[in-house]
Amino acid sequence: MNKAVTFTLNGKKITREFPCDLFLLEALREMGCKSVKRGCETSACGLCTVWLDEKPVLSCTTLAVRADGHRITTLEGLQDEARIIGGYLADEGGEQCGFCSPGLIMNILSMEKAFPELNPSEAEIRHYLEGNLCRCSGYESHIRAVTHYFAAKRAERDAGKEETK
Amino acid sequence: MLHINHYYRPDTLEEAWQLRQKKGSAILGGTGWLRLGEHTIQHAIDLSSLDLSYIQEDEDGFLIGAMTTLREIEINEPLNKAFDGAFTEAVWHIVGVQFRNCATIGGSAYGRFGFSDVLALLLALDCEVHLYKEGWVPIAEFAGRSNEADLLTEIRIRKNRRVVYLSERLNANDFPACAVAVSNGTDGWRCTIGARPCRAKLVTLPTDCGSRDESGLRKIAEKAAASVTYGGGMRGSAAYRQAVAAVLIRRGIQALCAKGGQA
Repeated sequence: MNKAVTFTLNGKKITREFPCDLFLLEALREMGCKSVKRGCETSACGLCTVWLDEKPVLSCTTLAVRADGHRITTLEGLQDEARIIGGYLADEGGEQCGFCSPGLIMNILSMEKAFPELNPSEAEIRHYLEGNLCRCSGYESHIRAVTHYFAAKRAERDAGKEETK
Repeated sequence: MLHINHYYRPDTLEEAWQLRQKKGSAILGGTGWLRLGEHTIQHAIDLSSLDLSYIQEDEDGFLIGAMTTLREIEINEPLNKAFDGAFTEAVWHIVGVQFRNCATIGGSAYGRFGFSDVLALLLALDCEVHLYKEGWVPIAEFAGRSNEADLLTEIRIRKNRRVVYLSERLNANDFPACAVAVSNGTDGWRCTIGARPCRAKLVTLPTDCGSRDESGLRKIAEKAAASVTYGGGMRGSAAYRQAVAAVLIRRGIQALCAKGGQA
């Protein structure tokens, strides 16, 4: 049975009918959000990470009908931010086949809210990204890229503070 | 394959309870494991509009709403301060942040899964679950039941026990091969042994645990570990799990003694 669902997708309010057992992954891909990758479909790999009200969730196990009344963000809605992180990943050799990158970038971006001081330790980065599996990189390049990304964010923030003094 | 014929997001607990009485109904928790296996759900009931996501502290303990996510439990400072980080330790290995942002404490307790870290920890504490119609039920009694047509609305945990949570995993964010929570309060010592791989079991430990030497503790731990049954599986044989349980129980007692024991 279908159910009408109204939600905000990447800043745009949308009303659609979804079957009650359709998962958000399929719904988003059908709606053109191809950055949301189909991986394990069993909650393990993190490829399908999207934000539900600014929090990263797995779209492969979230029912589409649960999006009703919520804000969904995919990488399509964060192109500028994604480009910056993509640059850091490329610089460190962290972007190889690239299939895990959208989910990984969504989770890295959510770290800015989890660590508002922008200073996660290496252990915290490793722990936070534990749910993003990658078969190519061996993760070390991801960790270096994220470390450099947050160092740049801190420098940007501190430069802003200096300017306002 | 998963089939859901009807989806409801009720506005009141009474409405949710009425729906739960329908044949083929199921409550949706975090839905993380929903697509594993064959399911046909006639009436899927989503409790997310019922304001059941909260962690409230008072003098005696904590009230945790059933829809509170494992991530919220992981990072809640008062809860983890009161129990020496045991809640963080019990949930932070579970898959990843994205999964823990979906999975709920109510779903973990209600599911009574054999692999559940959450249930193993709750059983070691002075804890009760609130069922909408039945009222407060001790967690040990609830864990022993097999089916429930009532609604789990919240969980109450008293601050009267110190606890240590330990688990053994083959990979960092895999299900545990064995999980143990050891706790101590004015009514003595106890431990739970979970991921056996069946449902966690509560075992009472001798009252003088805290004054035993190393070899005495080994005997206590081995006896406690031998008091429950184990099964084999891809994460370890029954003998392996029992041997690991004995080690974790001993380490748990030692860790609590090092922290000063009683709550």
